[in-house]
Amino acid sequence: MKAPLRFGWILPALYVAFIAAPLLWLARVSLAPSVAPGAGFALLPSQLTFQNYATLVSRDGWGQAFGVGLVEAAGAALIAVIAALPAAYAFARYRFLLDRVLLYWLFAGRIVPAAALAGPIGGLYASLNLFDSPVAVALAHGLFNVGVAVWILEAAIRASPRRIDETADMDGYAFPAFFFEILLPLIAKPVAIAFAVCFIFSWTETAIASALTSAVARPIGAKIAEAALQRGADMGLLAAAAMLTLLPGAVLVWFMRRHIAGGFAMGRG
Amino acid sequence: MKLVDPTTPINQRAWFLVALATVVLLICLEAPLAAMIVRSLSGEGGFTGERWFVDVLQGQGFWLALARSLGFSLAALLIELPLGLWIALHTPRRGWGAGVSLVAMALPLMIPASSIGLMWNAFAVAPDGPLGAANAAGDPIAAWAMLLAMDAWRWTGLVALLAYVRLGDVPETLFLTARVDGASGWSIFRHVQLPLLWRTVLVAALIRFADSMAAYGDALVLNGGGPNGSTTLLALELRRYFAPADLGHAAAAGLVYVAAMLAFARLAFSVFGRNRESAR
Repeated sequence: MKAPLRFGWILPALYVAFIAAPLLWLARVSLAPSVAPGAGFALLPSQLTFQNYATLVSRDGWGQAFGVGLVEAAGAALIAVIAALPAAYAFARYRFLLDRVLLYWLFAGRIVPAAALAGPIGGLYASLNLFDSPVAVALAHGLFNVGVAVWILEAAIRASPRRIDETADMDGYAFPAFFFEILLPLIAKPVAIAFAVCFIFSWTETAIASALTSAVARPIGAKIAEAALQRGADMGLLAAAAMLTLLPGAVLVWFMRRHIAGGFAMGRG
Repeated sequence: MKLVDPTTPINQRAWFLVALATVVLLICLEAPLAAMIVRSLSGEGGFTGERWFVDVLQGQGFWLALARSLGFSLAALLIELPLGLWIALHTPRRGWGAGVSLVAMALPLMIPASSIGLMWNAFAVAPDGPLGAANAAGDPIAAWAMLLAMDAWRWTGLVALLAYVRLGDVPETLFLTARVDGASGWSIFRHVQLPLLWRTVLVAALIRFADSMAAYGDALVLNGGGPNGSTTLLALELRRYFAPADLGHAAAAGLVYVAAMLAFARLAFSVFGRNRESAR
């Protein structure tokens, strides 16, 4: 048992390098003055500048788009968790008419291509006068988020013993009191995980967010997509914007590195 | 409400608990589906019957895009499943190496699709980028390679994370004992680790298939489905139908696409459902 371990680090190191390379290039583009296309490849820029970042905070509503994106993702996660908590309890503890059917449709919301529904969703919200509002984006992302949150929370509630419910019932707790005072503190961690996973699902989604917004409520992810498709897009500026969109994920990765996988696959692999 | 009834856990009042989730789902999924159905059956002159569907199914664009998406999904699975598994098996369990590896797996999952497309455009498609010499902007084969590389960059970490977490459920001494007993690396993988992982692989395959069939934002910004439409996946093809105000045609094509994925969801649901039973 000698050889297998000695070079075991090579593969993870190669993988880390593969992940790092495009990120480093993105940082390099964001830190260089924009050059005309056709200048050729240069590993290091002729000069380092924060000009793109300065432009980003001062012009064209990029700062606002970043803030709006955060608010919409947090709102989407909040809606999903609030809707999913009682539902997850119901699925974990009871059987009821059409329970499997409802669970299937919640799951299907995660599977169907959001981009295919984006057009009709845009039309629907426009007819309700909800076009270009942060509420619309937060609500529309319930498509995949509610199912994801139910899946995570149902597993957490199922894992907590029924005895807790029975004891609380005998102690005279009404259901809401039991739910908020006993159950919720018990599953506080899974609730936080569900919130974070839904936040990231919403933060990374751009098709629905694009279809639902124009100037006011367009989150930064959708704004990057829109700007990148314009002719003669300023790559330096867009690279700086893309660098900015790494921040929430980077913060969350640190706090959630042990729980991300299960959340993303909706369940306990 | 009586909280628990141990003899019959059937309780129709549970519907009060799922009401809010049901309403959100109706707004987010069923209402747009209904709007699509209405649009796919109507035009300026009123009811059009199956006309738009015949249009879609007899045209070439939809089928070609579907074939591209299926090929893309299959290739992505063939690359990402073995690679993710392999990485998970070699990632250290302790120390700073473990932390760095986990960050590398998780971070790509948390970046907006458009940022990933933009980054890979600058890195692999733009002529002035480090991989510009491959000419992904003009050569379809290079464009496909970059599209798949981008997908592997974004999603291999998910497969690796799932497998890594599953392997962590089992004491490491199990693998070490097998090794001391003289088992080779391959036979440990084949007879100890793979049986442990096969359900994880199945779950990862189902979720990856669904997500790669839905690929949109990153592929759009990467190269707009080019060159000459050679990497136009199904969701990108659908986007083109919206351009000439051809809403009936777009709705019919979208509906066929969504219906196929709903059928796939039915299949995947039974696997995920069984997963839950066994985890009880």
